[in-house]
Formats: sequence, C-alpha cells, structure tokens
Amino acid sequence: MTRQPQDKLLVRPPDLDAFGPSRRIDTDAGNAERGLAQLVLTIIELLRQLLERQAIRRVESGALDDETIERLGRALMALEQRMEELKRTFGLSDEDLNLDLGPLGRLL
Amino acid sequence: MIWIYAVGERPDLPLPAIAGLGGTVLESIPHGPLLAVASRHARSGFAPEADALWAHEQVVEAVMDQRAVVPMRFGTRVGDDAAAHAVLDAEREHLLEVLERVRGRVEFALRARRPSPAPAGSGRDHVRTLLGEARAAAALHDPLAAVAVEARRSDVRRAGELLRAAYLVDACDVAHFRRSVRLLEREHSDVALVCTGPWPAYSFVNV
Repeated sequence: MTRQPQDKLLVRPPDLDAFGPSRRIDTDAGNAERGLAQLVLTIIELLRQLLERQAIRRVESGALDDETIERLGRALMALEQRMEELKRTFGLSDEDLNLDLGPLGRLL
Repeated sequence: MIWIYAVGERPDLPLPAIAGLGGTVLESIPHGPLLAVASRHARSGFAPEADALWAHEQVVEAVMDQRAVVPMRFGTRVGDDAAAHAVLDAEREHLLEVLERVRGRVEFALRARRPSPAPAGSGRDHVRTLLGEARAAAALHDPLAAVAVEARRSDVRRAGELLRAAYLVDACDVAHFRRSVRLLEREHSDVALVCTGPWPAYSFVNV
C-alpha cells in the first residue's frame, strides 16, 4: 500500500490555487527593504485582524447602540482601506504578507 | 546534523523499514520510555520542498502505524546525540503527556474560502458583513469540532478566507468526520472547502 500526497485531499474545490501558500519573506540583501516592509505590514495586518475580532465580539454581545456600531464599522472600514493603500505603496499583495509560514509553522 | 522525525513510545520496537531523507537509514535514539526517530546527515538541513516534505511525512506515518508518536515539524534537527538526549530529558514529562493525548488519534486540516463581498456603504453594513462571515465560519467549524476530540482555529485569515482550522479525531470517528465534511460541502455550496488528512497530530503537540 503506497501512500500518495493526493490521497490526503478529502475534499477540494475545482480551483485550488486560491489556497496556495504565502510567499516566503524575501531576505536577499538587495531586497532587504522590501523584506522589512513585508514583515512590518504583516504585523500591522495581524493587529488589524485582532481589532476586528474584538469589535465583532462586542457587537455580538449586544451591548452597543446603533450609533456606536456605525462608528465602529466606519473605523474598521477605514483601517481596511488604509491597509490596502499601504500594500499598494510597497507593491505587496495579500500573498506577500507572511501569515502562513507553510511547513515551518504559523506566525500566530 | 541529526534530523528528527518524531518522538515515540516503545523504544523496544524495531523501526519501520523505510528510508529517511535523502535515502538515509533511520535510527532510533532511545531515552528511557521514549525514542527519537532520526537520521544523520553531513549537510546542515533540507529545503522545505515537496519531495523532502513528503519523505519526512512518510517516516512519521510509518512510525505512527506502530505506536503513538509526537510528530516533529519539518526542519526539526539537533547538532549531535548529546543534544538529542538533552531535549528528550528536559521535555520528558511534556512528551509523555502529549503521547497520551494523541494516542489513536489523527488530525484533519480544513480551510474555507468565500469571495469577499462588495465594499459596504455604511459602517453598519460593514459590521453586518463581518458578522455574517463570523457566523458562516462557525456554521462550518462547530459541527466538525463536535465530532473531534479537540479543535483549533487559527486566529489569522487571509482576504476571502472564512476559516482555517485543525481537528484531532479519534480513529473510530474518522469515517464520521469524513461524512460530516462532505455534508458541509453540499450544504454550503457558496464556500470553497479544502480538507486534508489524516495527518499526524502536528497542530496539537505544542513542541
């Protein structure tokens, strides 16, 4: 009985590419600046997601009034937009943010 | 360099007849009730490429067929025998505890994606979108976590990703788990699901 990597796939969508791994942090000397931007933006993105989760928990607890929810929503949207701008500024895509260190583990 | 594949119990049992990375011979480093399954190499490491990852995985699974194991992540290595014994000694209690927890259990990994909706017009709509995503993730995660002995959800998601989770499943519940995943796949046709396994319990060993 030989086992093959594809035997590990229990279910999959027709398009697997979207699930591909993150690119590794670029540590070539010439690209040190880009690698640093990648690292910093990854950390900012982790914090943004943390804030978002906490906000959702507060909304779900039912303790917030309509006006507060509207303000919270606008603040989260603004954060998301700002993150997109930063990624554009540094020429980084979502896959460049190293949220998943692949076989070596995860950042959080 | 000594490459470590797994730490297991029953150092008295022979190792499986399977080659290590680069076709090397597997060896056992026994330490009290534990053993490390290892191979020796002149080089300092291996790049995490498909063939090498799969070779590492095959060794871990072959050992897991014989006994309870704490799988080591690809890239785990020590300098020499003394270092291996030092780790086994320092981590002895923890490793024995983990062996009990993963005995007869396997891991399944799940990831779910759904296209991100159009940007919201108001703060309220945005919050509603986020709530919808949180609920969609729970609708996938909760039924699977109910079949599993233990479940872990990653806190981090990429854009469009609803859920990233791992499930520790008793061998006798594997068929039940598979059925549950297929059922979810049918019920949530708007979500792209990838489920892989069974794996050694990489996400549940904290080493």
